[in-house]
Amino acid sequence: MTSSTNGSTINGSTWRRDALIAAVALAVLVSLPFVANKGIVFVAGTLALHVVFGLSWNLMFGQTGLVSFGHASFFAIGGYAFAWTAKMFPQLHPLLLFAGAGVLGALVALVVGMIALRRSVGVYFAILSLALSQIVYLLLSYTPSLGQEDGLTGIRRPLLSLGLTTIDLARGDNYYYFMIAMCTLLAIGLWWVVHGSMGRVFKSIQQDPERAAFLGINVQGYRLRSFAIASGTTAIAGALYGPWLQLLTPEIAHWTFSARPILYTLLGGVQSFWGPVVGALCFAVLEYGTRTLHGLSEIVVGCILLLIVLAFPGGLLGGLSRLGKRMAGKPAVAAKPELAR
Amino acid sequence: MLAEFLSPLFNGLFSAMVVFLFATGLTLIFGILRILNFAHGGFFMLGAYLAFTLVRLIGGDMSIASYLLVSIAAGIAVGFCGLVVERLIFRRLQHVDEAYSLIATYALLLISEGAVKAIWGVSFHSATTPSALGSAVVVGDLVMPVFAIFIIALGVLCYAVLEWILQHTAVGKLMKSLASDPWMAGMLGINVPRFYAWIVVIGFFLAGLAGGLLLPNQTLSPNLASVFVVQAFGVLIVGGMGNIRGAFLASILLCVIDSYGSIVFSQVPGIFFYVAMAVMLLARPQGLIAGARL
Amino acid sequence: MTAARQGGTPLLVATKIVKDYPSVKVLKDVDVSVAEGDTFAVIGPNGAGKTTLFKVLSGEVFADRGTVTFKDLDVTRMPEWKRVRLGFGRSFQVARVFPDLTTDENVVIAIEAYHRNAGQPVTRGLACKPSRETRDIVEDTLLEVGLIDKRHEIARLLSHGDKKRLELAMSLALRPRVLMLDEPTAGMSPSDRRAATELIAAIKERHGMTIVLTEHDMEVVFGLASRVAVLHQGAMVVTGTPAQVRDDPMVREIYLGSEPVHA
Repeated sequence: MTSSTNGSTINGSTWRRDALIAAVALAVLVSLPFVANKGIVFVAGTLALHVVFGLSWNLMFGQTGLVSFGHASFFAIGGYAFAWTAKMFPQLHPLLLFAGAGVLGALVALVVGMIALRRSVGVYFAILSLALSQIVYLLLSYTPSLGQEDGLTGIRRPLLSLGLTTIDLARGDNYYYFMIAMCTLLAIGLWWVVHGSMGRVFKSIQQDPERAAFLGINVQGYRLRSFAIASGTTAIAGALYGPWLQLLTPEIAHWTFSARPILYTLLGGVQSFWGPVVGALCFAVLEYGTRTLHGLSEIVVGCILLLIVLAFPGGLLGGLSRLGKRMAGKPAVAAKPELAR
Repeated sequence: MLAEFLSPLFNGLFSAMVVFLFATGLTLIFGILRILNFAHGGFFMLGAYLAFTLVRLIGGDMSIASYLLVSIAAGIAVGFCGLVVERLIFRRLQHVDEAYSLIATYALLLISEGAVKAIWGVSFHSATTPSALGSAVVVGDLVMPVFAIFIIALGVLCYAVLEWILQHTAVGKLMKSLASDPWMAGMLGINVPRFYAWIVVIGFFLAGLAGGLLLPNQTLSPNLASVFVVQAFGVLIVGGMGNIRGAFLASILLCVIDSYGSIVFSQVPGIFFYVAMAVMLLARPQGLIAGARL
Repeated sequence: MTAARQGGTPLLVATKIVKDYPSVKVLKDVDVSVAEGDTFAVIGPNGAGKTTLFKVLSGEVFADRGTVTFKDLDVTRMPEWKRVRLGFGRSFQVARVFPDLTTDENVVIAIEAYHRNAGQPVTRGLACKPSRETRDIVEDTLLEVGLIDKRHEIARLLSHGDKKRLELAMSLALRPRVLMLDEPTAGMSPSDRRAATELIAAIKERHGMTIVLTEHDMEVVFGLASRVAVLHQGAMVVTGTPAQVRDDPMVREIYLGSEPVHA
């Protein structure tokens, strides 16, 4: 039953399972500062951002079959937009700035998408997005007011006034909790899009765009929507990243960072909503586990990635569910997403 | 006067041939196996480091002959890596969706980066240009380093050789038919897997060779792996989905545009390459040389 | 000769359609006029241009010259998804369904597309599940095409005939004014073919929409069609009632004579 995992099932039941998984994950994240050291809390907070990064990329690939090689540029656009405006206009409410970063990311995606999606899908769109992300990377690297290659430093964790009370996000683990809350909201939003009627339209486009068009679906329009939603969401994640690290460098716009959500998704499994989450978690564990091995870290991560791909060429979740089915004696059905159509 | 116009052209051609030399192996593998090899940069870097070590071992001043021999040696070593990679990884990925081969090549990129860090460390190295190539030719007020002229000549030579092989030899015809229809080639009794293995080895050999040849031009650091890959991807696609002639023309077009663009807009050097690439992809999505594989 | 019509008002009209592909001229000045309520069959030997004409009418490709009008509206250059919103529905020669989704999910997508196209709300509030109304229509439609027992099956695993039924269900969900069926019985066994013919006739009976179809099987054509057009080497040879076409000597020579009836 690939369908029950791909999320667009209309027969209920997935949301209960997904809510349960999310609750467990949240409980772990929330209790982490009490039981783990600062290093692990930092990894967990960063992981939450990467999860949103991966989930939003899969909203394009897993849902409408759009491959972007430049997703990191939207992460960077959000990050720099927030950090710069927070520095220039400290009187503005941080939530407004986070939202603004998201809107900016979505708007840039709309403009780019309106031009790009008209002419190209598949590998062309992928390479085009790569070119555009290099442009963003170069602009960030050479713009004096954005710190050029040194980036923006000393990004402050803001005061969050919520009407009745004001929370100082710079104190203790406040910013960590704030980030977890924001990422949860973003993930819920993405879940809702994927599982709702728009998700069903997306899914139909991913499966057969031409057929979808003959149902009166404006394929290009919906691809544009998925591109804009994914980019806006990622821009908010990027905005959250600046104060977390208190530093932003152009490296977050580099193509090697754009490769991350792709790896998370493919590693975890395209078909499942949770695929990118599993992939990001694997990566975080691998990197944390090998952080002290100079040079060997890359070798170990690389080898494990290779082993996973060779053992489960359909993502971990797909592989595991197939394994489970084989144990239960049912025929396995391979899921085949395509990169270049 | 003349130099103002010609010097960007010369610089553009130089960087075009650098990108083209880098992209040849990538184009070959993509054209035939349809694998977008992220690791290409990693193995290019490996070739450069190997050549660097060999140069040090030899010591003293390098002649052009030893420079070429060292590059070929680096190419052969990297080509051998290609053989291992093909046996252990690419072969197993043939029946898997191409998206997943992306993870595999990215993993290989990480491994090659890690290997370079573990063996040579993270500090920067730079090699000297062979003294025979160290001077410059001056025409009027146009200054042309001999090394750059040499690289341009090598790029053109490399293109001419590949083009000749593809168009006029039996092997080339075989490659072209395999690129457009592997199934049919299999039907005709061609040992397709062995042929694929050779393509990968040659592709990796070209990566290592390029690493050695371009060594005098590079600062060696583990970042080298990801420097040219994006430009090479651009050349590959703008050229037309992995054909050598397209890649050659696209690298010249994009690099020369970038070279002139950088004069007009010097604040952000290198940006015009990607602007031109985006425009080309939108204006001519089928590529410069459409339809032809290789 | 197609311009002179008896009966209903013209609904879908194509005039002087020319379509070239790089080396061949596929359609040469083809005229088609489908009246409201017709079941209009386009027949002709392989390579006559049936599929291309079908693509031009449905909007999958555009004609090089000539015009297509629908309800007196020029749709020659209108993309397929906009035509669908005007009231086109179509099936494909090799049934195309969304392979990894279940039967009912396929139909839900079609119904929701219809509601969205008509500017109606699709789901209530923030709900993810399809509305009660949508689910009722799914049930009706699946009952009608005989797939209700297979509603939870993955579309990819359905038999060829069932995929065709599912495709029909998806087209029906759009409540089209003109339903275009590209070889609705291609690749079916004789018994499946008979069942499919009956199903199409029943659908026509119940909904009364206009149907345009291409078909190889003469039994199906003459069982369903109220008008038949014969295409030969990219040109329209004859258009008329099934009886007129059957008795036309030229048709006998180029089509019925040259090919066995159950091709």
